Amino acid sequence: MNYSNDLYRNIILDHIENPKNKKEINSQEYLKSYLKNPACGDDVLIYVLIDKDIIKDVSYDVNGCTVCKASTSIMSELLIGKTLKEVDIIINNINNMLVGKDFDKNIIKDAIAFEGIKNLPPRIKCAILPYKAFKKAIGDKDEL
Amino acid sequence: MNREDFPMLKEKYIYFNNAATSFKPIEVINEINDYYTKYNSNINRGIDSLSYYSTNKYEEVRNKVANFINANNNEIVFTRGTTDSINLLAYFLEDIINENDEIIISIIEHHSNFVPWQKLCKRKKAKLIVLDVEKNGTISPSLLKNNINTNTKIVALNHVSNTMGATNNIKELSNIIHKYNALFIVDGAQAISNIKIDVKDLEVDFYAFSGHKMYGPTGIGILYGKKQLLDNMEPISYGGEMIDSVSIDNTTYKDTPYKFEAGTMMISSVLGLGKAIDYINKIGIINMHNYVVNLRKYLIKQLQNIYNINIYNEQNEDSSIVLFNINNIHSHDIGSLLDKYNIIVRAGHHCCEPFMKYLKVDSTVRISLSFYNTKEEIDKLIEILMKAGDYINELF
Repeated sequence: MNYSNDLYRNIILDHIENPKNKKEINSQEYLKSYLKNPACGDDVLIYVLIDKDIIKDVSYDVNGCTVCKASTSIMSELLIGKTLKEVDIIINNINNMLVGKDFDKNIIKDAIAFEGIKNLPPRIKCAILPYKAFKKAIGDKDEL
Repeated sequence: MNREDFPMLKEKYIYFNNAATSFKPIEVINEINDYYTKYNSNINRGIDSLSYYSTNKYEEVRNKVANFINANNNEIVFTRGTTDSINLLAYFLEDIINENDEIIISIIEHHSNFVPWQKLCKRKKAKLIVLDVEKNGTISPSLLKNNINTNTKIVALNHVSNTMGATNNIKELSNIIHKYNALFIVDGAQAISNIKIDVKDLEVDFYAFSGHKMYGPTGIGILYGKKQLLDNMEPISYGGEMIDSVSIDNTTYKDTPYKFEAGTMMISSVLGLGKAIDYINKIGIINMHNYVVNLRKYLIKQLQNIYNINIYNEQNEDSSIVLFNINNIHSHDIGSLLDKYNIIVRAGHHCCEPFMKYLKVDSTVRISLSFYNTKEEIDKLIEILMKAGDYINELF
């Protein structure tokens, strides 16, 4: 095990054991969307609260593998407080990392734990699922 | 056994996903190659010698399939696969289903033997009855007796389950079903490469299976149906080679089974399937089965050494399938860990979402053995599964 493995492991474990921003949402003000990965059964329900162009809150319910669960928790931390324009940049950088393209490490924070996914192509869909659900919730039709 | 016959076994993989699709022996691959390089032609067309030759080869395969399952050759319809066979049936049989009729399936059916009947019931306002299964995954004849009645028109069940690997007592189920004059449709996708099938002895009305799970090519499946039943069914696909004669006002069809094979069929896949049947006959399906059953005993014994493992179908000793989870680790994470070491298993819901809900799990890991797997391969599997607790370190 090298330093980065150890670091990544701790990030992922932390998000699995202590999911961030996960809470029950009853408010009608939240946009929501549900997405399922039919190939494997992972599913996420995402809640997004937007005020003007700022993401005020993100919550979720997620069933699935470690990658999908941790990715959803990490996403909520990354996107809360950001403008829609910033969100776009973050998501594009994460998508680039997952598919092995250039990305800015400073923008994606804890999501760096999934840097290794580029070597596990069948799992890209697990990591990207919450981002797809988020985009669907806010009505962004650009495909990931 | 006979590993040298399979080119894929020279690659780096350890393959434990044979219930999804099996590897192909070189004879099958060569047969497909020969068709395209030596006698490429369309069947049943014209009077040229090429077409005559390939038509004969194609029809020879129908005879081989018929012999393989003890049917008559005019009871064998070529389809794209098990899924296609069952979907076709759900349309062929639409006319016999009326409002308030009942169709019986079970909770453990593969989606391909679940959804076509669910949709047929919705189209015709009929009732879908879904039977629970025993702990080992089989369908209890007494439960069937309690649910069947004079409104029951179709019963569609698996022969061998693709998750639990349990073998149903088809003959006993058939006796019950026929007392009520219902039709019995059997999904044989997982049985065909593991047990000797005799459709006459099983007394089934229809039996569906795929070529690619029995060492043959993809894109070819079989729908067996009793001749009289097939004769009474209207085709749903029209075109070349299925017609007897066409006028402006009317069309008559060829006899069974040709009326169900419209257009150019998957000739190369049919020919490949013929070689796959020759191959199975050469090795002997009973020899294959006995080898797998012994290997599975070894696999179960070794798996029991894995910390926190939960095996769902240990008792199904006649099966080629082992279904399990390791507590607190998602099946996809196990699948990815094994994949890193080029060990291929199936992780997920296995196209059986209703049954996964019944088991109260999201997904499971499935190992499905073939006669070409070895104890050494199992040892390697176990070595990697021992690291399952550290999967996050291994993967990220």
